[in-house]
Parts: sequence; C-alpha cells; structure tokens
Amino acid sequence: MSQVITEISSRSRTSPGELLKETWAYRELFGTFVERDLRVRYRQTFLGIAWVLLYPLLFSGIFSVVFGKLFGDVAAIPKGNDRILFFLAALVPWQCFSGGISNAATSLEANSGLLGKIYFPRILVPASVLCSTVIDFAVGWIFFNVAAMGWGYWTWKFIIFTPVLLMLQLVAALGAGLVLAALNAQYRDTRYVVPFLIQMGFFVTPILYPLKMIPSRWLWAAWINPMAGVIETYRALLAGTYIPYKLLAMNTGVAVALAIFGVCFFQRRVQRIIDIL
Amino acid sequence: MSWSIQIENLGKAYNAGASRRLSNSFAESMMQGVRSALRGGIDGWESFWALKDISLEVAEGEILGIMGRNGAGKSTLLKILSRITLPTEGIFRYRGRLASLLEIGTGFHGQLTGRENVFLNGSILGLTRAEIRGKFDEIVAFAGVESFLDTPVKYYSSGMYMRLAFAVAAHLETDILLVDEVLAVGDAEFHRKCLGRMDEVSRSGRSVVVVSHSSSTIKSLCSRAVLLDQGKLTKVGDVDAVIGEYMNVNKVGRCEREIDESEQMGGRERMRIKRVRLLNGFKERFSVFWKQDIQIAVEIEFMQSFNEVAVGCGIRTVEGLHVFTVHHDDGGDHPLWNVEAGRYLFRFTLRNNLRPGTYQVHIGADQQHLMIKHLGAVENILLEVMDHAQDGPTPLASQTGLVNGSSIWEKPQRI
Repeated sequence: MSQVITEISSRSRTSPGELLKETWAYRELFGTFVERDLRVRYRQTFLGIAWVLLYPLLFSGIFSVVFGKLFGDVAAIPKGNDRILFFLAALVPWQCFSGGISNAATSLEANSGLLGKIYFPRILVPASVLCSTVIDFAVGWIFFNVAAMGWGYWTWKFIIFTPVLLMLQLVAALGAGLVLAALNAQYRDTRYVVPFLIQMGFFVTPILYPLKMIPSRWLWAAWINPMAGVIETYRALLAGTYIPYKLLAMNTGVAVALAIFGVCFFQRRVQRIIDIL
Repeated sequence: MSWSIQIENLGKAYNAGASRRLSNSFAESMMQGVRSALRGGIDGWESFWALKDISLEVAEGEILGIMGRNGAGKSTLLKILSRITLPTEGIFRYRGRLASLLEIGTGFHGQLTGRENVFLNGSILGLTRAEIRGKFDEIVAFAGVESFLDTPVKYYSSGMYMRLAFAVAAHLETDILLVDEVLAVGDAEFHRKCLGRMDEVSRSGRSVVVVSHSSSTIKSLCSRAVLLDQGKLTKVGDVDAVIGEYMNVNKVGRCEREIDESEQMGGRERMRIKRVRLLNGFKERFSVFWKQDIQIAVEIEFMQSFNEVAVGCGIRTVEGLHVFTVHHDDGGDHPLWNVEAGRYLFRFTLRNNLRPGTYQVHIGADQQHLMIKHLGAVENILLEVMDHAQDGPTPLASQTGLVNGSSIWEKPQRI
C-alpha cells in the first residue's frame, strides 16, 4: 500500500506550508470557481461583459460632470479629457477592490450549500471571488489605456506598474475579504456593515480628489490605505509627475500585514465555520 | 486485510445554545456570553454531544452501512469523515483519496450548461480536469443527455438533471467513497443504477461507507453494518443482526402513533406525517389478526400546496425485504390528488395476505410530476400479524413464506 494516510483530529491545524501545498493541490477547483463566477455573472444579461466597462464609465461621467463642475477648482481636479482619465484611473481599480471585498465578504454565506456538502480548502471560496474581479479590472483597464493613448497621456510605464499595483491591491483585498468573510459566517451583521465600510473607504481614499488635498495631519490615513498609493501612482503616471515610492512602500507593508492577519484569522475560524454558517 | 478508515474515540459536540440558533447576530452572542457567565462560566454553555466515543474500522473493499434514526448522529459522522467539520475529540485516519457524495449534484448551477456543469461538479467532487475530459463521453452517455449538452441545466427536466448529476458522481474513482441517503431520491430505476454502481466500486477493491435508515438499502448493499443511537455506536457487525437490533429499538407499539420530528424522512419543509393509527388494532396495539384487513388512518400536514400527489403504503419484513407497496391511485378509483397547505386525514384498508410475523409499515407521499419526487415518509412502524385468526382456522405451520399462498389441487391419478 503506497497510499497516503491522512490523519484528522480535533487538534488538526494546518501549518502555512501545508496550507500552501493543499491549496496548490486544489488549484483546478480554484480555476473552476473563478470560471463559474465569470460564466454566471453576466448570463442572462442583455449587455453581458459590457457592464464591466459601463460601470466605471458611467461613474466617471457622473463624477466629471457633477463633482468636477462643482468642486473642480477647489479640489484641484484637472480639466477636460484629463478629468475623465483622472477619475477612470481611480475608479477602475477601486471598483475591482471594493467589488472584490464585498463579494468575498458574503462568499461563504453564498456558498454555504457547497461548504456543507463537500470538503476543499475553504480559503478557495473568497480567494476565487477576488480573482474573478481581476477580469473586470482587465476590461476596464484596457479601455483606460486606450483612452489614455488616444489623448496622448499614455506612457510605457503603465505596463510595468499595472501588474505590481494590481498585486498590491489584491493582497490588501484578500486580507480584508478574508476577515470579513469569516466574520460574516458567524455574524450576519457584517453584511450590513460592509457597504458602509466601503462607502467610507471611497471617501477616505483619494478618488474624488488628489492626494495633495489631504491636510498633513490626516496624511496617516493615506499611509495605511493601500488604495491611496495605487491610485496616486496611476495618476502620477498620467500627469508625468514623480511616483510616490515612499507611500507605495508603506502601503505594501500594510497590505502584506493585512493579508497575513487575514489568512490567520480565517484559518483559525474556518474549522468551526460550517457548524455556525 | 488492511484498514482503509480507522476511527478512534471520535466525538462531536455542538453548542446547543449558540450554534443551533438560526439567527446568529453579534448582539445575540454577546447576550449569550453574559447569560452563560451568570450561570457560572463556560460550563454553563449547553453542549450537545451529537457523537460520542465512536471507534470503528473500515476494511479495504468493504461496504459498511451506518444505520440509525434521524438525529442518531449518522450525518454528523459522515460530515466528520468527509472533513466538512472537525471532530470535538478523537482522531481518524484514512488511506488514499476520499470523496464524499452527500448530495447528488453538489454545486450544479442552473445558469450553466450541462457540459459546464459536468466540469464544475466533477472538479468539486475531486476529479481533475484531465480525468473529466477522459470520461466526458462516458458520463454523457451514461446520463443520456447528449442532445442537451449546451442547454442550461435549469431547462432540464428533473429526471435529466438527476441522471446527469449521478453520472458525474458515478465516475468518481477514489479509494474511499462516502455516500449519504442519495439513494433515497429518484425513481426505482435510478435507485437500482446507484446500487449497481456502488457494488462495482467495492468489487474493484475500494471502500464505501453508506448512511441510510432504510434497512432494505443496507441489506442489499452492505457486507457489514453499524447502528448509531443517540450519538453512540450500539451495535457493530453482521448486517442482519444490526437490522434486527435497529428494529428492536422500536418494538411493536400502540395502535396510535404520534410521529415525532426525528422520524420524518425526506423534506420536513415539504410535509410532516403527524399521526398514524391502526383503526382495528388488537388491544390498542399495532397488531392485527391473521387474515384480518388492516385499516389505517394517517394524518399528514403539508407545508405547501402540491399537485399530483400519490399517498402510498408499503410493507417490508423487519429484515428489509420488500413485500409490496400500494398507492391510492393504483386501482383507478381516485386520480392523483392536489393538496393545499394544511392537514389532511387519509384512510385506507390494506387487504391482509401476510403470514404471521412482524413487518415494517412504510407510509409516504410522492409527487408524480415529471418524475417521482418523494415528499416525505415514515418508516419503521412495526406491525404485528398475530399467529391466529379472529375466528376460524389458525395458520398452518406447514405453510411458510411471507404471504399466504393458496392453490387448487386435483386428486392424483395413477399414470
């Protein structure tokens, strides 16, 4: 008999190495989950995947008109075509970030039927939900790049920075998503808190206004907010100003810490999740 | 022969206060924390042992049956073995790859096509993409849905849906297969297919653990069985002995039986059988004389309205051998009934042609729409057919079997 013997007891804890190994062993299921999310999301919609584009576009339009016109000067928002790009550079990544977190937060609840019937590493559920938002980002981002090229603001640096910044925001979203998903499994209150948190994040993050509008005594809020660095960097690339490396480094540290905390928090609770879900 | 699953002192406790509640909000759990603190700390939490001190070994190539009433801990045990939940105490080991089939069509998504669902369901059950691709044609042929492969499964008839779902599950090739009651759904043909497939699985040297409260399923399938009662293993061994013990748990009772929650089989959100009464029971017991017709009244509460409902009654021996099943519409006197939500009383008379002995009465309702869908049932009501008639001759000892045979003979001729 050469088969592997698996031993399970009440004290079974998965070490980080085992978790990685197991998640890797289930990579096909991970892929299947992502695929399912994508296939299902725009089934039976008339416009289909076009919604991915319409969303940030409509918002950018609204913000350009309403916010730009009203506070354009006060908030130091650029004018004309720059203004649409200014908002797109923030809204496309933010949409992916916030959408990913809010979907991840309710993912265990949404898949409770599956979780109660079959075993697989539970982390696959929120992680795959996050991963499927990357496709939304990709579609929106291609459009953004084309627009930036058309209006002459594009630089080859986008090609280098996009994967790095996308990684940064995904790591941060994973951390937050895992914590919220585990909490929501136990306390359904989470579901009502999440939209509020996201709305708050939307205003705290320099989306509607540039980073330089933040008074210096509030700057720490940007230091601990990975999305501040992501958006600010994209905007710096557009405007051709210098890249806020210090902010990015700080943000990366926060994102990694958040992700490690998220994974630990999730793994600690995950064993009990099915009994309370 | 070596073991394939080894279980040692397994136990599972649920926190009856905190986790069995439906509404589980933060404020509520704070309140509970406060309340339990007032009652004297953590000991004040009511814990409920769904399983306790389970030790068991499953040999390679064995089909082990787990029997027990609802709430005896069967499903909890299967959930622990499937790794869906962790045990509270104890340990178990298994050898090789393990797959669990707690439900047919786990993860099927209505919006996806048949083809997409085969891949989705297959990988959820633990097959690799390459394995699914390799078996794809076989799976589709088994299900017989070739021409609907690119149709979303929500447009499938329930029969097609079940066939496709089962076809995927039937092609699992893991070392250990855990199966829960999936056999209870679907029609007789489907049932037979399931049994046949599981037999094949075990003959190829893999182990199967089946949970069921149907003694006939256990009898036709398993080589060994265990009985769970209130979370404890009360009997391990030979199938017939375990079934006998299972039946002993509920001996022939009074002629009026209130059916409690734990005895309801099938969807409790669809219907509940409230009460079963033997109208002509001898001395208020669930007993009739030999050859005396059996008059039964059943009270069923439907939780919602259903159309095309057939109410039926079946008789099995205590060992699980199926003697017969009848439905109200068999004779053509009544059409299928449409019922509203609410309570109904059904009365019927069974012609009693049974030999003396103890039988299980099975009463249930099916919906005969597209395919037979079981709404709910109660099993294991014991009926005694006494060994003497009300008046007249007693049964002859020379006649044996389950039913009273009768024959007409002519005088022998010497030839």
